[in-house]
Amino acid sequence: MKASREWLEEYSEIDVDTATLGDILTMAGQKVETIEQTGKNIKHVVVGKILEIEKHQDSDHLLVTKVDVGDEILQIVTGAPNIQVGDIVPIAKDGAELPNDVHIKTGLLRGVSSCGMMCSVGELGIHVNDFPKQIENGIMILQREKEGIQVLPGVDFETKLGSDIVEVLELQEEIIDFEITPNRPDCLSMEGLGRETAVALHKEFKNPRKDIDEASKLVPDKEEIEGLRVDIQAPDLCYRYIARLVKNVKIGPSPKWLTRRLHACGMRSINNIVDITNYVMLEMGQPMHAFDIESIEGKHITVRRATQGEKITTLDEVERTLDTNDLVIADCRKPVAIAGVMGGLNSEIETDTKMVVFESAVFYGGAVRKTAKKVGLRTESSSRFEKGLSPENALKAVNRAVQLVEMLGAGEAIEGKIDKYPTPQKENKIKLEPEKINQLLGTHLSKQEMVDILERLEMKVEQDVITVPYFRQDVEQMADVAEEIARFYGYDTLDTTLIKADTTLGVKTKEQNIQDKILETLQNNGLSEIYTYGFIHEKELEKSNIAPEVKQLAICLTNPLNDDFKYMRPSTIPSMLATIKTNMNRKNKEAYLFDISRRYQNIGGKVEQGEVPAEETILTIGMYGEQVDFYVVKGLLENILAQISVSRYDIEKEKTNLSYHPGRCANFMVGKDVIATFGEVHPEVLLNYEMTQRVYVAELNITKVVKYARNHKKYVEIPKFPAVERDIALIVDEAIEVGQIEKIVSKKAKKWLESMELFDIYRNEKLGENKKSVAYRLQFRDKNKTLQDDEVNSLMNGIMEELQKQVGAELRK
Amino acid sequence: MQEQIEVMKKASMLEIANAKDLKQLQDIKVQYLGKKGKLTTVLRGMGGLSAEERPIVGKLVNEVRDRLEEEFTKKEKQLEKEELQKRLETENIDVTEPSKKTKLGSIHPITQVIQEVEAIFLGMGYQIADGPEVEKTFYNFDQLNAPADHPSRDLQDTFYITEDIILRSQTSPVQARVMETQKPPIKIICPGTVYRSDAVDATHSPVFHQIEGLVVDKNIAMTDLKGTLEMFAKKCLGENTKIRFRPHHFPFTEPSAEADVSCFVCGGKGCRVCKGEGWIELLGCGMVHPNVLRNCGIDPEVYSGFAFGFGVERIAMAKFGIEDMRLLYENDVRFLKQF
Repeated sequence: MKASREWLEEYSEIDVDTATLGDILTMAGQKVETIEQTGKNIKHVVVGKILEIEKHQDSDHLLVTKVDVGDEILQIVTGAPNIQVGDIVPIAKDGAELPNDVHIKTGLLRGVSSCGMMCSVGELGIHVNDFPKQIENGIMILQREKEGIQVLPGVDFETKLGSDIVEVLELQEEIIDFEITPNRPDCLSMEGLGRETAVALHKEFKNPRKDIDEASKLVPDKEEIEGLRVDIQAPDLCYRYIARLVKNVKIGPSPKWLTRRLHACGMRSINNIVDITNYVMLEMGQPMHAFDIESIEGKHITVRRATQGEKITTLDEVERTLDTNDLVIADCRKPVAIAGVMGGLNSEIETDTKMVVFESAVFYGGAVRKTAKKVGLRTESSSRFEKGLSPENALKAVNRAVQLVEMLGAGEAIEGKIDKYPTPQKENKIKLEPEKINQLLGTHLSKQEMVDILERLEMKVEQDVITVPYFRQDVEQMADVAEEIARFYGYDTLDTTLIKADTTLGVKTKEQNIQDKILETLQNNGLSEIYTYGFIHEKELEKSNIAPEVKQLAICLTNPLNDDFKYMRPSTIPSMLATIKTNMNRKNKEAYLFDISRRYQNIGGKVEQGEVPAEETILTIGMYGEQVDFYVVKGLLENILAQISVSRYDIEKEKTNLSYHPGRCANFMVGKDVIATFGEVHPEVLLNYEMTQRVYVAELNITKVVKYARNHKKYVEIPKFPAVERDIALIVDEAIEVGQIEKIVSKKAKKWLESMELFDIYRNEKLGENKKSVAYRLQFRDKNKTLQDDEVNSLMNGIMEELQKQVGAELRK
Repeated sequence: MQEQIEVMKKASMLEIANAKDLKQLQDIKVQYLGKKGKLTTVLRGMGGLSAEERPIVGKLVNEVRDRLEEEFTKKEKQLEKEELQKRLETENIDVTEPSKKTKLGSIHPITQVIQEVEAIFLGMGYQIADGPEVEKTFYNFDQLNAPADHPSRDLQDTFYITEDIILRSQTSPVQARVMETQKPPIKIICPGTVYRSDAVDATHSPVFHQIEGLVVDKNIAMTDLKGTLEMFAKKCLGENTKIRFRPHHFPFTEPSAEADVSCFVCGGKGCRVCKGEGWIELLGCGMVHPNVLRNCGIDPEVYSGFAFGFGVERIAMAKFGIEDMRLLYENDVRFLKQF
């Protein structure tokens, strides 16, 4: 909401500069976005009359003019084609300053001296719309008698030659732009802002519309005026509808004082009747509408829901299609306005309009908002209605409009009003509880201090009961009252204290601790954390070969931004692969990445049942580069599990997950529970992503792994007796996994086996076809005694026998 | 004989003094003091001396031997020192050659900010709460005093899955869930991912992160909120940070405030980051609306509370000088490695 200081001053004395006023109001809750100061940066620009125009001798397009600026005649060279002898124009004299840091100096233009410049509307920092018959790319014509151009009706510029343009056009204006919070529709009016200003500055609130309250009582209710009748058929959407009529209307321009205020608030002047409706809206916050009574067929206004597919062409000449959720103002045949949004072109005020119906109504905000959004028209009117207006204000507004009509000589009031008010606004009363308010705010205010603030806000306090004024429907309970008191006591004046309550423990949960450890482990192992969107394109799931049974768990958005963001991912693999792809595209030689994020799976159709779907936290690792292979990723997972104390797990080959290379993929299992899957990305998937390097990924289900992580570690005594080491080299079939060998050895060696280290795998023709040699260093120890050589030898024989029997292993000699 | 010994002493002392290295010194030692050494030989020849001479010569030999031993030790130490010096000189290395280490990875700026904030609030006795991202409208809106026709429920702002299920547009539904299941005292912060229907550009993202805080207990006052946030701002943004409360409006708090902090780039003098204002809008906060407490089964006549919330990306961007939000989600390793 824009407000000019000049207009605000009508409501309250303002004894501070505008910037300070802005700060004070911001701190009181009406946040000032910007303060615009027009005319301030214009200096030495005066009214001048063009006496002569001659062509420049050395130029096709330049003109040499003589201009009367009151006390002297100046020679000015200009390139503007739209001037004529006799025109009165703004002249920037030698040394003049214009907006955007433009400085004007006397100079030579192609050898002819020019003592200033004629200004366009833009050069003065004002808008074409603000002054009649002006053009964008030409000199501003203040007055041109033969064509009747006169930027200020009633001002003869002949008598103003040499006068400062800023004063003559009243360009000096300080305009404050407020961000009004949605709970304060009353502040979308000068009256509301004026009240806030007065309270914030500790001045008396001067309500210039007090007369209206008195006048309103004298306007009798009628069922019918000049044959016009009103019916509200949708009282749930229309709380009040008032119509007043004026006759002998003379459509014409509005006076300068009124257009100036409209301009200051960012509105355009149209004609006196339309301007009055806009002026009243700005002044009192009540949107108004004016109809030409001739356009209301049957002289019967109905407030009703639109029929399905009903059409109306609005004032902006766009045809809109409505449905039964939209409210319209209709005559007996057609809609003449979309209620609260915009009037119809068919009932527009024309230059020959003779009798006008002023509508002042209050509609249900939620419905106005939905309709406005649907038809794509958020107007000054709809943005006020959607916040919920007071029906009580509507009467004052319509009477003010009629008062203005008579004041401006734009028509004559017809006695009486039609006032349909099916559900009158209830008066809200709240108990004043000073201790509770002090407790909530942490203040020590006396009851009287509170009452003083409330009464300045026009909240009457009688016997500890607050009567909330009609325009403050947002004040409903004690907390709202507390806010009002806090606002004017000053949020900044509030102390800073610390909570005085029982101590609480700030500890992380097991899952949070585990996540921290994973982060730390991976960072220390050279991986970088990434952040990815949970959204996914359907195609990404296909490109990553995500299994159909997982794919179908993807959750679909009804209003996605675009197809890339249409689904919530049921797997984190595609997000990681997309990131890897980005890095490859950017010629990064390697990338070691990880992501701790969620996947969303609509298991069991939870979403359709109105329940939230399963969300699991997944660690996703993605790596490529010369140093990376399957075993690097395996090692990372082992390190993580060691860090979070998951010790009992198996690693089993996984051949069915199609995102992975079937020969190079494995699962980490706890019992039968898969806690992680990792491996090389399937060549087909790489192809789908047009990736030329091998990529390795891993998925660790953090949600799942939490239950297997042990909370604490236990000390095991450092051995007192020496260990015995033995190396063995075995020749086995290529198909034998080393894991099998290790299982056999550890089973046989039982508690004596302390460690088993694979130190060499060797392949050679001499070993035989499809054979490999694997060499281990075994370390044995008995924690109670020194092991003897013969004991170990006999164990080694037993191990060898077992290996031979189970996997056909032979000792390599 | 005594003369002979004196000569030997002189000669040996000279040899010791001239010894070039430990090996040579050792040879000299053997030559004089060894089993077949010159001095030992003299000692053995003492048998032919008179009874008067014998103790005198014996004493002399002993004296000379002690002296020589002493000289040897001295020289030995000196030579050892010299040799160490030589070794140290030859073992000089170029300390600017590359180090040997495992490469360190990096933690994303968003996580870093979240961790920092978590640490501060854990220290103040808060717990970290968590909730679903795919959430019920009931928790995201209804319980938080944003009824059916509330503008924030519009399709333009919130992603819908069904009429009842949405992507949470704020982390506040976690607050509602916690209040419903826990009894006061409640002191939590909830960091998390939230979703709003904004197209991707330098300052917007449909996915971003928030941290919200909630305290519910007896006698919680607005001044406590101010004090808590001031302490947080000082710890997170620097001891000289000032905080400013401005009245504002949120459906789930009353009174509501927006909190600005003095610009942590220029210290409040005015710069590009704070647009010359000296203040940066940091967070929204307020006293938990009595309707919200009531909705969650907490009696507003007995308990009161405060809540606050802010965006993580904004702080991360300001802290690390990142000007384009898209960098946070592109995950180029050349970006990630910087943190």
